[in-house]
This record gives sequence, structure tokens and C-alpha cells, in this order.
Amino acid sequence: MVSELSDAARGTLQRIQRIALIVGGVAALLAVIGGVVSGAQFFHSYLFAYFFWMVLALGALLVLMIESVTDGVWGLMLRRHLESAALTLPLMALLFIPVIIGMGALYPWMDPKIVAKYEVIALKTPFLNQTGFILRSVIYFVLWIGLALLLYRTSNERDRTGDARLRDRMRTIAGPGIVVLALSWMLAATDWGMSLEPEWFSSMYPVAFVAGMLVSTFAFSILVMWFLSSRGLLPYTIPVDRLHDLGKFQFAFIVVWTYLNFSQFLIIWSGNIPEETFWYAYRFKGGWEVVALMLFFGHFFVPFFLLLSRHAKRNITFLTAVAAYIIGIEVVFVFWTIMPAFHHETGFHIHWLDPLALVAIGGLWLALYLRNLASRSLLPKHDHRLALLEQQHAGHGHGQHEAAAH
Amino acid sequence: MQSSPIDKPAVVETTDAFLGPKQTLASVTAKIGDIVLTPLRKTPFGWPIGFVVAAIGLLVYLYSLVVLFTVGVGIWGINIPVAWGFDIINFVWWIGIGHAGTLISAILLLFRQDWRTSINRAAEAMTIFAVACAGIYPLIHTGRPWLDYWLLPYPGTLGMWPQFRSPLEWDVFAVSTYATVSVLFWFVGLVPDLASLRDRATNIWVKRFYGLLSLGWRGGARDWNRYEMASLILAGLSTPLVLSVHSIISFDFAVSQLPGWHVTVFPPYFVAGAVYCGFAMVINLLVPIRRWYGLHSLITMKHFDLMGQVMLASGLVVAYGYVSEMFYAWYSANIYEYFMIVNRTAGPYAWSYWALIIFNIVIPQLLWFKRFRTNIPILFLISICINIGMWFERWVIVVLSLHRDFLPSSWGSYTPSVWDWTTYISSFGLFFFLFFLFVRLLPMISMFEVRDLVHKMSGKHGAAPTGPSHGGEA
Repeated sequence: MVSELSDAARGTLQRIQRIALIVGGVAALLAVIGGVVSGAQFFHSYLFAYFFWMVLALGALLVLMIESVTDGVWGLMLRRHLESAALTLPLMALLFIPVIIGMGALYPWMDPKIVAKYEVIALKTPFLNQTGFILRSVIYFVLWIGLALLLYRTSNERDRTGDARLRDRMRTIAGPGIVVLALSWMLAATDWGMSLEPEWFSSMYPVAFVAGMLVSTFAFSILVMWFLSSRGLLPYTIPVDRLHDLGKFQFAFIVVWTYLNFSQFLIIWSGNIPEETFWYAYRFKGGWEVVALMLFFGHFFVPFFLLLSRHAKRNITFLTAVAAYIIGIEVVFVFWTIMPAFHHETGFHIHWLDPLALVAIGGLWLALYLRNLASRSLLPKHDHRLALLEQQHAGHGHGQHEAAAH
Repeated sequence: MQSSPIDKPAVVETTDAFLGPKQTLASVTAKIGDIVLTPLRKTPFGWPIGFVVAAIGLLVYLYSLVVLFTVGVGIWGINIPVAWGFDIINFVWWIGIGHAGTLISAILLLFRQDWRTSINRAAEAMTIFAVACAGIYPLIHTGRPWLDYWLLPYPGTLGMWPQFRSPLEWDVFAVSTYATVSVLFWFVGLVPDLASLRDRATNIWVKRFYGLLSLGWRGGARDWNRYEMASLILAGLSTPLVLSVHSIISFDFAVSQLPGWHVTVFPPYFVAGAVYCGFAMVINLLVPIRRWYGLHSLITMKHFDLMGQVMLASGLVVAYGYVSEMFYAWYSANIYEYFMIVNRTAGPYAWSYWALIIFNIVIPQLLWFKRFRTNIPILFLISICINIGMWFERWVIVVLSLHRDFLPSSWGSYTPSVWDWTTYISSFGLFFFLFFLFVRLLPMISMFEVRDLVHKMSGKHGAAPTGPSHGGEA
């Protein structure tokens, strides 16, 4: 069943890769020109776009590590795709440089006048200072890229040698890797996002982004699987039960996302302490409340009811449409989380650079992702689950007893 | 294939499968069903001893309650500022234990994890008994338990109406819903097995007893079809309850303004903690039962290995909670949050904080290694440590935050009284009394689901099923 990636498939992927690269490159060029014209706005838009793609790249690393410690056939199907997405992290490290350049325009704690004025920000300077911020960011990227590379190399070695013990090595890397990612992301989310409003703190903030990682990674995965299978690039047919698994994950993480974000809101609202409530207050006025309501309905009720039915999760066209919608609403979530920090007084604000930055980073990101994806076969060559996938494909095994029950 | 449960066969440990070798449909039913149908005098010796000890515990518990009702909550160590003491600590601890049962029975069913079949029945029973133990604490904590019905919103002439904005009120709904759904789910799951017991029983009264409980089950295709629908619907209903009950309990603390309570990450970390100590309790219960009744071929090492992995994962989420709680207290640059760190790590109760870290975080790291997860005595000890650690977690949250809040002039201290201890320790009497009854009266492993597993593992698909298979459907 498993074969090398066919020339036709590689050709298709490379063609889209070129398009992505051109679109991303042109958008990046325009954004830089826009940056020269509009100054600080460039960095605001850039950070928003960066956050969205960073969450997706890290989400891929997280799901890849979850795949490595669990044993589902869904993981076999997604493995190469996840490796390719996680291997965009070096690019994300490179794309972090503009954030460092724009620190002064982004983070209020960079301004000595503000630090002098607000005692609470002054007290945070042991953590919130330029050296610490850059140093920590370097460490995060070293850790994340290290994990992605380790898993990638182990996977390649397994392809080459077929040594089944390498699966255990992946597990040994991924188990502690998840712990490393969780703790480093806690600090990274604090550095990059939470400190935009330096008085504010909430221990749920990084965790809510982890839910965002899982939501957007599964939505993106469904899109990719749909694309690959509809173009006939996959060396197998997606068993409908495995598609159902992806749909269930998507559904579950939508609920988890809502649960985490709503809990954070409820606790802060109910505690009603001014140093915390302002974060929501700014996001519930001046037009942002419309976005907030949009998220409440659009990021929970709409996908929840669309995905509730069994048939919805087993129909690839429908599931793909919902996944595309979820990616869109996830962009809105990141926008609503990040952008109000820059517009406390003026209310809702959107700039043409916001979508442009999203396309610029996204084009470059997708180009690298597709290059990674086109460089190897779409299934690992040796895996104990390959037989299971083949069986299910032929309609035997696990799928059948389920069919018998219904 | 008659084998009495008291026969102790040579123990063959299976590490790579969910069933021991040579299991057949008949042997499974005989093995599990006969534990219940064996006459009392042939029951393994551990049962009557355990039952009597538990019954004595239950009597102590009842006595403690009688004293409490006649004298009042003044017999406890609670005071102002520490108005929540052992009663709330134990409430949260017990209800947390219940969560593993729901996770195993509902979420693992939806995820088609076949390994749950050997342990779900006992875990669900544990849930119900733990919820019973838990539910009593807030009721007696009110001080005038005869007025507890005031917690319910009912249109009475008194005009009493509960405060709907208080999570304490949400607890009333959350816990009672949870108890109801858990009992329903458990009972529905029992019906096919009760029918098997009815059919196997020889004594007419035993036959009638199980006949009554099995609700006229005939095992026809329609019965199974409806059973499947009902259990999937109940699993779907139970799944959000795993999250909601303990989240609402975390709101009891988190919606306040007290440093150490007002933490936004509380809900998921409380849920993880509940699963953590719940699985530990499942292991603590299954290890002796498996030994007494010789269930090594039904509850295999692979079960323990997987339960160890679930504990490791949930324990790491809990550890993340502790780290992030401390980090954000520091990051907040708020003096009261700073003081919370100092008071926990170096205050008068610092020993309990460090005990929490050792029992709940340090020792369970052994679970990273398969050789500890599959070593029953060590796994058993780790599980006990986790249960102690999780109890300390609630102690640290309740007592250490309350006893020193904002104003030093309103600080105080808390020492549990003798009655606190008796009400806590003897609640195990209630729990084990119910659990021993369960082991004796009901099949503690789901017979038809294990038969289904035997069937699947035999690889003969397409033959007439002995029981339904579990297609996950969410």
C-alpha cells in the first residue's frame, strides 16, 4: 500500500507551494511597504498574524507528540502532515525577528515613562524586560525546534531501518516533550500576548490558547486530508471511521475551547477585581462586543450544532466545510484576543494590514509546509498500524463491528 | 466450566492483552457470575472480615453524625476565618474520586477503549458510593441539616429562594444531576448481567431478586438495540458531567477574591485532579479484589499499565496547575498573591504544602516507567500516595488560603477536632460498607462486555454476537 510519493502528487504539491510562496512573498512585500507608511500599525497587524500561525505550528507539534504517545490509526494518517507542519517552526523563529524589532511599538512595559508611572508594571520588570524577553524567546524556539527535529529524525530513521523500537524512542521523546511544551508555552504566551496589557494576568490564558492549538490543528488537518484525498494523492482511501475520529476530535476541542474560555470569563467577572476585569471590559465595548458575541455564537454554537450529528462527522465534504469555517473563526478569536490591547480608548479597529499580514505569514508558512510534505511519502513506511489501516480500508476489522452495532 | 471463585489458580500475569489466555464465553460468565451466586459460607475470607470492619466504621460514622446533630458544628475545628474545614475538604476529595468512574464508563466508551470493560462496573459503583459520601458533607456543613431542602428552589409560602449566582447553589444541581445520571448509567449497564444472574441462579428467591431487577430482559435483538441506544445517550450525558461537576466545585473557590482561590486555571486543573485521585482509588480497590477473587485473567497487567498512564497524564496536568498558580501569583506583582506563595511554602502550615508536592508530584513521577506501572505493590503504594496528596491539595486550598487572607488582624488558625477526624475516617466505613455489598450482590465486572471482548479477540467476526459491540458515537 505504501509507496513513495508519486511524481504527479509531488508535482501538484510543488505547484501549490509555488503559488503560496508567490502570494506570501508579494503580501510580505506589500506589508513591508505598508509598514513604512503606517508605522506601529504594521507591528500590531504582524503580531496578530504571527500569533495565529504560531498557534497552528505549535498545535501541530503538540498533536504530533500526542500522536507519538498514543496509538490511534488517525495518528498514522496525520503523522507526515503533522511533522511537516511542526517543521515550520524554524521559519516561525525567523519570522519572530520583526516582533523583536517592533517590541517598542507593541509592549507598554518597554516604555520607561509607563514603567515609572505604574508601580505594578515596575514590579514586573524582573520578568518583563527586553533582555529577558529575547533570551526566553530564543530558549523557547530552541526547545520547540529541537523537539520537532528529534521527532522528525526518528521518524526518518524508522523509515530507513524499519526498527520497531524507534516507535518507543518517539514515545520517550514525546512524553517529556509535552511537559516541556506546556511549561514553555505558559511563559511564551505570557511574554508575547499577555504582557501586551502588562497589569493583567490570568493563569488560564496560555491554556485557552492550547485549546486554540488543538482546534485549529484538527481543522487544518481535516482540510489537508480532504485536499489530498480529493486529488487522489493519498495512497489509501480514508476509512470513514477514521474520518469520524477526526470529526470527534474537532467537536470535542470546540467544546473544550468554550469551556476554558468561558471559565476564565466567569471567574474574572464574578471576582470583579478591577485589575482583571479591564481586560474583558475593553473587549466588550467600542464595537469589540460584537466580535465577542460573534465568537460566543460562532466559535461555539455554530460548530457545535453542525458537528453534533454522526453523519456530519462521517461526510468529508461537510466536515471540510466546517473545518474551513473553524479556521476562519479561530482567526477572529486571535484577533479579538490580541488587537484590543492596542485600541483601549478607540474601540474596534481593523486595518488593511491585518489581513495582509495574515496572508503574508500564511503564504510563507504554507510554502514551507508543502515543501516538507512533498519531500517524503504521505505515510510512514514502517508502522504497526499500517496493517490496521489497510484492513479498515478493505472494510474489515474495527470498522465492521461498529457497522454491526448500528 | 464450573470454577468456584475461591479456587486460586496458578497466577499467570498477562501484560500485553486485556484478557488472560484461554478465556471463553462460558468461563467469563462463570468466573464473574459465580462470585455473586456462591453461597456466603464459600465466599473468600477477606469479604466477611472487610464487611464487618466497614460496618463498624459505618456505625462510628453514624455516631459522629448523631453527636453533630445534637450538639452542632461547634464540635468541629472550624472557626472564623477558617469557616470551611474538613467538611469541605472531604466533600471535594470524595467527589473527585467519583470522577474516574464516569470517565471510564462514559468517555472511554465514546472513545471505544475496549480496556474499560473489565473495570468500568466497579469504577461506576465507586463513583456512586463516593458521591454519596461526598454529598453528605455539604449537607451537614449547613449546621441545620433538617433545613437543607431550602437549597432547592421551590415556590413555598416562606418565599425562600436560593441565590442562583452562587456556585454553592450550582453545586446542588451539579451534584444531584451527577448522582442521578451515574446511578442510571450504572443500573442500565447492569440489566443484561442481572438477567444472566437470574438465569443462572438456582435458589428461587435469588432468581426472583435478580428477575425483579433485570426488568424483564430477554436478550432479544430489540432489547440489545434499545440497550445500545440508552447507554450511548447516557454516556453522552455523563461526559460533560465529568467536566462540569468538578469545574463548578472549583468555582466555589475561584469566583471569590481570596488569593489562592481566585485562580482562573482552577476548573481544568480541578477536573484533572479529580481524575487523578479517582484512578488511584480504582487501583486501590481493584488490587485487593483481583487477588481475593483470582481475577488475574480479567483484570490484567495491561489494565494497570494503562491506568498508570492515565494517572501520569492527569497528574502532570495537576502539576502544571501548581506551577502556573505559583508563577502567576509572582507575575501578578500583587502583595496578597506574593504572600500566598510565602505562606504556603514557609508559613505555619508549610509542611502540608510540601507534603502535597511530595505525595502528589514527586512520588508519582515513578509512573513514567513501565516497570513501576506493572509492579502491583509499587503501583498500589503510589496510588495511596496520590490519594493522600490529593487530600492535601484540598487542605492547602481550603485552610491555607482562609487562615491568612488580607488583614493580619483577621488571621487565625485551624486545628481539626476529634470529631473532624472521626467524621472523615469513618466515612470510609460508609464507602466500603456499600462497596462490599456491591461486590457480593452484583457482578463487579461487566459479564456481557467481557464476553464481547472474548468474541472480538477470537477473531470470529460475523458470528451471532453474545452481546453488543460498542461502536462509539458522539
